[in-house]
Amino acid sequence: MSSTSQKHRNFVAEPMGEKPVTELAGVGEVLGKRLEVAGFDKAYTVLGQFLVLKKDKELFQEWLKDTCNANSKQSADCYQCLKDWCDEFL
Amino acid sequence: MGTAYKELFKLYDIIQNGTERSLESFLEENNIQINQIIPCKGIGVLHLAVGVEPPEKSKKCTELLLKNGGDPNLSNDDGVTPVHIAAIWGRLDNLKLLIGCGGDPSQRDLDGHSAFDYATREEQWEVFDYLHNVIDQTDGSPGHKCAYTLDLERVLLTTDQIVAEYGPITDEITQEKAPTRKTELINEWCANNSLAINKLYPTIIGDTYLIDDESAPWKSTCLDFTENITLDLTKDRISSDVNTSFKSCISKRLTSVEISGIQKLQFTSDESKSIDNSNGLNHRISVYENFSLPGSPSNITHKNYNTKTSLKKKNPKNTSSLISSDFSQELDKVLAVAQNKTNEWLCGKDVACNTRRSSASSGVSSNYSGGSIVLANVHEEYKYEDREEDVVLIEKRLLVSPVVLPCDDGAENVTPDMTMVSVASSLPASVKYDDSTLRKELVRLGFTPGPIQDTTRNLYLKKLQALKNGPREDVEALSDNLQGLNINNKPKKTYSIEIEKSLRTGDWMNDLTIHMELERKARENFTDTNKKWREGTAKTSFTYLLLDPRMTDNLPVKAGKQNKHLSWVTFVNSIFYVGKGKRSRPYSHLYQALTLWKKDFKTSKDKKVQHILDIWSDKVGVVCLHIFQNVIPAEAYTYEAAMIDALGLTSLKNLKVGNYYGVVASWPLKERRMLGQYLLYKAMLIFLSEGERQLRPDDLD
Repeated sequence: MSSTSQKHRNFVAEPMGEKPVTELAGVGEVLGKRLEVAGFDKAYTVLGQFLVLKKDKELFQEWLKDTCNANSKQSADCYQCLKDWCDEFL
Repeated sequence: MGTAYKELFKLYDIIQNGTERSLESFLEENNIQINQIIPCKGIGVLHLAVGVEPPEKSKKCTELLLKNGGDPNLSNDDGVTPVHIAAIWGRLDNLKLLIGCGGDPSQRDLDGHSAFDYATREEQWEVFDYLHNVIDQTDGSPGHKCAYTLDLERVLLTTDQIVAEYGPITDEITQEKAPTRKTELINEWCANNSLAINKLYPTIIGDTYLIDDESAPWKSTCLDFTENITLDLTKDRISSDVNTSFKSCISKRLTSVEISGIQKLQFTSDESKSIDNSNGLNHRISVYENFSLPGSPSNITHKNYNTKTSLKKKNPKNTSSLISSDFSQELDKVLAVAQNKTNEWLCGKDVACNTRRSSASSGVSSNYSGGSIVLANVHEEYKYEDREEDVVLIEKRLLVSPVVLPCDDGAENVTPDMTMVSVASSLPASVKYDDSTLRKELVRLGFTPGPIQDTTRNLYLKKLQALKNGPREDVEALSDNLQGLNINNKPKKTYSIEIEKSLRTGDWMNDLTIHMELERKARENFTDTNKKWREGTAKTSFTYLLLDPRMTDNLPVKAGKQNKHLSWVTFVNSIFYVGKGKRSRPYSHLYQALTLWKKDFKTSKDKKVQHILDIWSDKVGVVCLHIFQNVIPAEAYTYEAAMIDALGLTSLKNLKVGNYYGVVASWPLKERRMLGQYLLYKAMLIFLSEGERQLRPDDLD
C-alpha cells in the first residue's frame, strides 16, 4: 500500500460526495473526458458500475477498458482506488 | 504359498469330480488366486474346466471361473492356454466365452500352434468356422451366404405430443379420403405413412418425407403422396419397380443435378439459396433415391458395379460444372450418402439367399425456412437375427431428418393439444444470449455474475467466452452450448497430430482437395484386379466404426442446427472402435459381447467388449456405422488401418494397428493419417445423413 499515488490517497481519505470522475486515481483528463461522454461524469457513477460488477477486478478493468480505452495500469489504479474507498466508507 | 496351492488342489478336485453347485460355493467361500499353474498337473483350473466332461458341467464351470477373474490367456509350461484347449476339444460355447473375455485365438503355444491350427488338426470345424467368422482372420468360408435376417419390428413416430407405434401388418387397409381437421390430418398422415411401410413389406421404402408447406397447399400434397404410394404398393407387391415420386417444391431453384444409373437410381439435388446461406439455415438439399427391386436377383451382380461406377464418374463432372464451390461440399455429403446407400443396397441384393428385406430411401434435408410446422421423429426398430449363432439384436434407427408435418399459421382454430411447434424456436442459439440464459450459463460455469444490464452484458459475454475457453477461436464458439462443453471436460483423448489439428478449427473442411486426391489414389489402386490381394478380390467387405451413443447423443439430428466443426469434434470423440467386417455377418463384431451379455457378465478383459457391455448397461445401444461398403478385403483393411492411425491406438479400444496394402503401404505416415482423416470425415457425412443406428440385445429395455 506504500506505492499508492497522492491522488489515490486523497480520494480514499474522504467520502466522494459530488467529486468528478477525474478525481479517481488512474483517471486523468483524457479518460475523464471519455467517461463523461459515456455518461459517467461523477465519480459515484463509476462507483455504481463498480458495485454492479460486484467489485470484480477483472470485469471492472475490462469495463473501463471498453468504455474509455484505459490501459491496464490506469484501470488497475482506478479499481484499487474504488476498492479502498469502499473498504473505508461502505 | 503352500496353503494357496492346497486350496487350488481342492478346487481342481471339485472341478473334476464335484458339481457346479459345490464349485460355486467353494469360490464364494474362498478367495483364491485361480490364475496359477498347478504343480504336478501342469495346467491351471481354467484349463481343466474348459476340457472337463461332461460338456454341460464344463460350460458352467468355465463361466464361473471366468466370472471369478479367470484368465483365458493363462499359458502353462507348454504355452497352452484355455483357448487352445477349447479349440482342441471343440468346446464351442466355452470358446465363445473365453474369446469374449479377452482370450486370444492367435496366441501360439510353444510348439507354434494357435487355436486355429488345433481346430484344423482336430477337425473341429464348428470351432474353425466360429473363429474365422468372429475373429475375421481370413475369409476362408466358402461362399458368402448371408447368415442373418433383418426384419422390421416396429416404427415409432414421436412428436412433442404423441408417440405412435406401428408394427408391420400384412392385411390391407383401405384408404379414406383426407379428413379436414388438422389433428386428424396428422394422425391420418402418420397412419398412411406407416401403412406405406407396412404394405411395402418386404420392400420397405419411405423413411422420411418432407413437404414444403409454403409453396404447396398441404392437403393436396398429402393426398398426392398417399395415392402415389398406395398405387405402387398394390401393384408392386411381388416384383417390378417401385416408383414413388416425391414432390418437393422449392421457391428458388438454383441447380438441379440428376444422375440416373442403370438401376434406375434417381438422384436429385435441389438447392435453394437465399441471402444468408452462410449459416445454412435457408439452404436445403434433398435427395431421394428410388430403388427398384426386381423379383429375380440373379442377373444383378454385374450391373451393380456399373451403377456404382457410373455414379462415381458423374459425380465430379456435375459438381464442377454446375455447382459453385460453396455447394460442392454439401453435395459431396449427399453423394457420399447416395453412394453408401447404393452400396448397401447392392450388398443386400446380389446374394441369392439373402433375406435382408429392407432398403430404405433416404431423405436428407436441412431446411429451416420458418413457418409453423410439426416435427415428428421417426424411429424404426429392426430385429437382426442370426439363427446359426443364436444371436438376436435390435437395431434402432433414428432417422436423420424428422418428418415435417406442415400446417398453416393459425388460419384454423388450433386445438391446444396440437399446438404446433415452430422450428424457429428450436433454431440454434444465436450469438446473442438473453440475460437469463447468459446468467445460467455463467452460474453453471461457476461464476456468479452481478446484474446483467446494457452496461454489463458485453462484459459478461466476454467473460463467458473466456470461461469456455475452448480450443475453438471463432465467435461461434460462444453459441456452442452445453454439449461442446461436455466434450471439453471429458478426460482428453489424444489423437494423431492431423486429427488434433482438425479438432482445433474447422477450416480444413473447406479445402479437402489434398485429401480427396489421396483417397482417389488409394481407391484406384485397389481396383486393379490382376494383383493378388489378401483374401481375394470378392467385394465382400466393409469398414465399420463403433460409436458411443452416450457421446453422440443423436448427433445426426442436431447436426443441422450446430456448426459442422462441433459435429466433427463430437463425432471423433465418440468413436471407440474401428474394424473391418464382412457382409455375410455385418454385426458379428457384437457377437462376443452378446455372448457375455446373455451370461450376465458385466466385465471382460477385452477393452472393446467391455466398452460395449458398459454401453448396454446404460440401457442404450451401440452405434454401429458401416462405411465403404462393397470393397475388397484388402481395401477395407487399409481403410481400417488408416483410420486407426489417424485416431491413434490409445484413443480407441482396438488392440493393434491395422495393416496397409497396395500403394498406401508405401506412403509416409503423415499421408496415411490424412487419408484416415478424410475417411473419417466421409464417415461422418454418412453418419449425419443416415442417422443413428443403435444396436442392443433384445432383452434390453
